[in-house]
Amino acid sequence: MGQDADLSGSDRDPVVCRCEAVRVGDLLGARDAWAIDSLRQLKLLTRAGMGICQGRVCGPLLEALARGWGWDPTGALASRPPARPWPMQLARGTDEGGRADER
Amino acid sequence: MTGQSPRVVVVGAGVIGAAITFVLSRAGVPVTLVDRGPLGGGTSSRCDGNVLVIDKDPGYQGALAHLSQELLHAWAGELGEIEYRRPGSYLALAGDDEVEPARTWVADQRRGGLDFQYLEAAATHRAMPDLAADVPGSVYSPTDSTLNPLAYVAALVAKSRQRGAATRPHSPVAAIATSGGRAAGVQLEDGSTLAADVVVVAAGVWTPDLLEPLGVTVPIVPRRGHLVVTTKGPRFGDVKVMEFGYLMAKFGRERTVPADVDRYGVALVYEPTRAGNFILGSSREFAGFDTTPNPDVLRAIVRRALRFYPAMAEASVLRGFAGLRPWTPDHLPVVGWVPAVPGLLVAAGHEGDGIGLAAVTGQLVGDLIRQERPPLPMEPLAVDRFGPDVLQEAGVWDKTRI
Repeated sequence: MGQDADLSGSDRDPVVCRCEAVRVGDLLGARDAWAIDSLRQLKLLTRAGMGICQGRVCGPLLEALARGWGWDPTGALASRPPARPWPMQLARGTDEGGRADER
Repeated sequence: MTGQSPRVVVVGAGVIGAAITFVLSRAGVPVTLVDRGPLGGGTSSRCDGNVLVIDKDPGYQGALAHLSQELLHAWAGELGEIEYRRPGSYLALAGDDEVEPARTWVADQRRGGLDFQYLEAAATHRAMPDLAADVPGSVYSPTDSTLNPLAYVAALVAKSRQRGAATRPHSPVAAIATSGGRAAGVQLEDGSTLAADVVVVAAGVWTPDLLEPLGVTVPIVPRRGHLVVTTKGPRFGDVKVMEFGYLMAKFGRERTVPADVDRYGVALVYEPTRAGNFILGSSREFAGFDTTPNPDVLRAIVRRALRFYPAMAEASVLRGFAGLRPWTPDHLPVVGWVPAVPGLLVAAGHEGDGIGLAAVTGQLVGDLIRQERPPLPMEPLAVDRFGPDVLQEAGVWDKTRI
């Protein structure tokens, strides 16, 4: 990242995942504490990339960091359905409302 | 291996292999944990964090699960931040026809020494104010606990490493090596060999593939399950709630439910997480090794949740995914020596209970290797307990693999 892309505040610890408020320092701390060696495991343990944007914003940054650490990030941030948050009321049918309707 | 600690290789770094490695390294046994992928990247990364007795059959299965809870409770302080807590769990009833079976379930469990309680409607709705008004009662199990399964595996591995255990992620095992008919280590796909006196196969749904070349058949079949994760937002209580019908789905018994709920073996599981989301389950299907999420199943899970929590209509699904439970025909894991191959141990087939049964499995395997007396009889878990008819049937189901 160049000077202009530096997201850090006075603590010089840039935010990587804004949805889950994960900073570079959090990633490094988790990586070293758990001796993690894959982006998928780092994602699952820090929640980076698991927030409401599902990694659409931070994904490229996470992958770049992973490559920098010598990891192959392929598949680690694979998208999961649904493509965007899906209100549960859309699943409503005629038959979940009560026992009387059940077959 | 008399007088000296045997060298052990554990194949499979899911929660079972990690717990075995933790127990062995704590006892000073030299152990290497091997996995074809990252540590904890298979079924143990596609699951909830339940550590339950509430859904176990009364008797041996319940005793096994309860012992595992007590072991985990003792380990938790040492393992650090794994989001361990013990809120108890509830089984909510869908209708009046479940009241008598639920009361019987509670009575059976109490006879088995577990502190189950039946809650009438008023107590049920006091404990779970968001439940649909027509839920007639519930079952409560106070010792049930929960944790973050990903952190649990990572912590078990990290503690093991501190005690000298070696880990070999991204190292696929090509074959179990034998010498003079006994296990001698594992051959890795890169051509190298890890020599050992004892090999433990803890490879979950992938266990049969490793054992077949040795002529050892275990009827472990992948039983796919979907989970739904919601966005952060409204929550519906801090306790873990399942529906009583979950037991029927798990043990393959008949239920009176909508067609898609029945077809995909859907039953309510509600698990609030520390991160502020909640997890919804569950489904059960024999669909081979395919973990592609099926939108119809996700929808059925959400519909089932709405039947018990109508206010969840305000919540939103963030993602859905699927994992593979290692199913066995009698719903008990396979834990024990392989009689035909000295030095070879199996610890697999925990279906949806791997997180919950990891601690006791680690303890039992550790006792077997160190030739100490296990805290429970192990005959019900024996590798060779399945008759030819069972093996044949499981083999047929296995053919559905993709």
